[in-house]
Amino acid sequence: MKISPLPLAALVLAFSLGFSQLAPAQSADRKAEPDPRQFARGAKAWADNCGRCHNIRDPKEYSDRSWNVIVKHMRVRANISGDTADDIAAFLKASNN
Amino acid sequence: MRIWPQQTDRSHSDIRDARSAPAVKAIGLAFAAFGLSQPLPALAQTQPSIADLERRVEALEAQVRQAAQAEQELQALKAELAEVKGRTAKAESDASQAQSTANQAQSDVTRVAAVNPAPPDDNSLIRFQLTGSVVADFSANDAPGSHSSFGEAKFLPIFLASYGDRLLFEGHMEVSSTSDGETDTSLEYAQLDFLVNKWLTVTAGKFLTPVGQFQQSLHTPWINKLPTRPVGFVEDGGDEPLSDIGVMVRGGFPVGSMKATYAAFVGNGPRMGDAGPVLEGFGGDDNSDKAFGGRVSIFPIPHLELGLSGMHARIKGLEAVSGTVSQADYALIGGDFAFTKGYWDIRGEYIHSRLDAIASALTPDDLLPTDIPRTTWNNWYVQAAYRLAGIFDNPIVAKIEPVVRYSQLRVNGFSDFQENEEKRWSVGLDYWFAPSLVAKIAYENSNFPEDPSVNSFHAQVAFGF
Ligand code: HEC
Repeated sequence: MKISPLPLAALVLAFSLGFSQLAPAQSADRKAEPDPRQFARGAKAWADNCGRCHNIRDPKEYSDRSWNVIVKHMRVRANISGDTADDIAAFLKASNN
Repeated sequence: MRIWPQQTDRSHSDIRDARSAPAVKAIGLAFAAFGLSQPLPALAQTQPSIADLERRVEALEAQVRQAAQAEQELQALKAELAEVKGRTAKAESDASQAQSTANQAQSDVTRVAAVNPAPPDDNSLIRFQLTGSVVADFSANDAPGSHSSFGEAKFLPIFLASYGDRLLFEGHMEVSSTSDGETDTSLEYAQLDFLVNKWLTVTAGKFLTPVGQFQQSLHTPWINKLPTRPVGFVEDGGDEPLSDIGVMVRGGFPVGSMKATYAAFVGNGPRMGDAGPVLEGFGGDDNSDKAFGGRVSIFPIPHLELGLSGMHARIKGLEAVSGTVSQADYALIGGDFAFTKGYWDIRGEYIHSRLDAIASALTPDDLLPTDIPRTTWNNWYVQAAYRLAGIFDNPIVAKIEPVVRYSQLRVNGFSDFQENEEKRWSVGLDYWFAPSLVAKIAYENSNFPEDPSVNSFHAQVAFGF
């Protein structure tokens, strides 16, 4: 099998871009007091986006820890922009207790 | 403390009263003496009666008794005062001790907090999450020679693991029981996603082909509102690509007040099979031409998505025992829409694909390749569902969702491939115990170009976790 250079280059680019950003972004998931504006944006984005393919899921179904990972999964699956996904995560984590 | 001076004031006045008591007593005694001294001259002059004197003595004695009682009371008051003072002093010292303990605790807390800031909910770098679904179904139909059967039970675990904020692994397996009692496992996807920035994710590995909407977004059993897939959007002999192995970029971004999404991939691409191209990810490529394609979508209004998909690949004919096979172009275009507002879920999808003329075996056992003419597939469905919660308050009825779907596949060209042609009506009722726990029943009527139509009944229970 001949490996064409295009996907390979994309992969290398992806790795380097991805890893260069790993460290500084680490603190973004911290459970700070939910900013009321972010909470409101998140609630709206959740209502607009999270019922498009399946029933909208109850924030209480998962813990903060689980939502952190699941929202990433859905961000990729549903092509949701990163800032919207962050708002949705903040809303879900502030609404599950 | 504020209580103390008040106490002091009161005690001062008490003391004043107490001090005045001996004076009263002295005056009383003086009066008594005076009283006693008086009768003598009077006795001389008036000779007061004995009884009279006795009364006076009694009165004086009473006064003396009163004075003694006052003295006693004074002593009791003094004792009480002393006790109150003691208690107050004790309370004050207790209070100040408590205050200093509190101060100490407070300063401990501040010191500890300064060293260890409040921990975030989860600050581990690697986070793991297991999700997935299980499904069990039953079906029966009236086709000659067929019988009802509990279908394959399936367990579809999904493993998710993230590293920091930018890396996600998703792995999805399917474990199912086959009709001959074996257990089948297959890999639906296993991909590494790099969340490069808020608008771009780069994925490597085996992923669901980003073409159309059913396979990417709806085929999961607790999401699919009917127990069956639409005609043509199936795993074997279907027209919608299932998965590929390669690299993919995807994301979403705002366009003015609207939203848009994109996904594009390069992968090993399909291989030839007995029902047409097999649109699945193969862990190797049988030719050096990569498949590429993707999908873009916009949301002209928040609850309506319109998508456009395309794909291109070069397919190599399946080798026969002898003879030479050829390669041919494969191309696909598709459109999809989804309107999901309130209790409505209305969607549809169309796929048109084409394989140019190719010399290929249909199975590896074929002695010689077959000359397959150029063939096209036209495949579509529309589906509408409405959750009765929109009309009825009754808690049971509100969980019911009727669904209706029409789907069809038409094949033009090679006659063997036309065996998959079908037109089908599906009507179903879902009962949602929870957002991802559903019991479905459905009735379907299928029509084929040559064979008689078939009616079938399906029931399914699905749970996503
Ligand atoms: C583009 C369609 C789509 C959208 C939009 C979508 N989901 Fe999903 N979701 C899926 C699919 C498909 C699955 C099943 C995963 C699979 O089978 O690969 C799923 C699974 C889930 C699960 C189960 C756990 C898991 O990760 O598998 C949860 C919870 C969930 N979604 C929540 C959400 C939330 C919250 C949102 C909004 C941010 C959302 N979904 C938006 C398609 C979607």
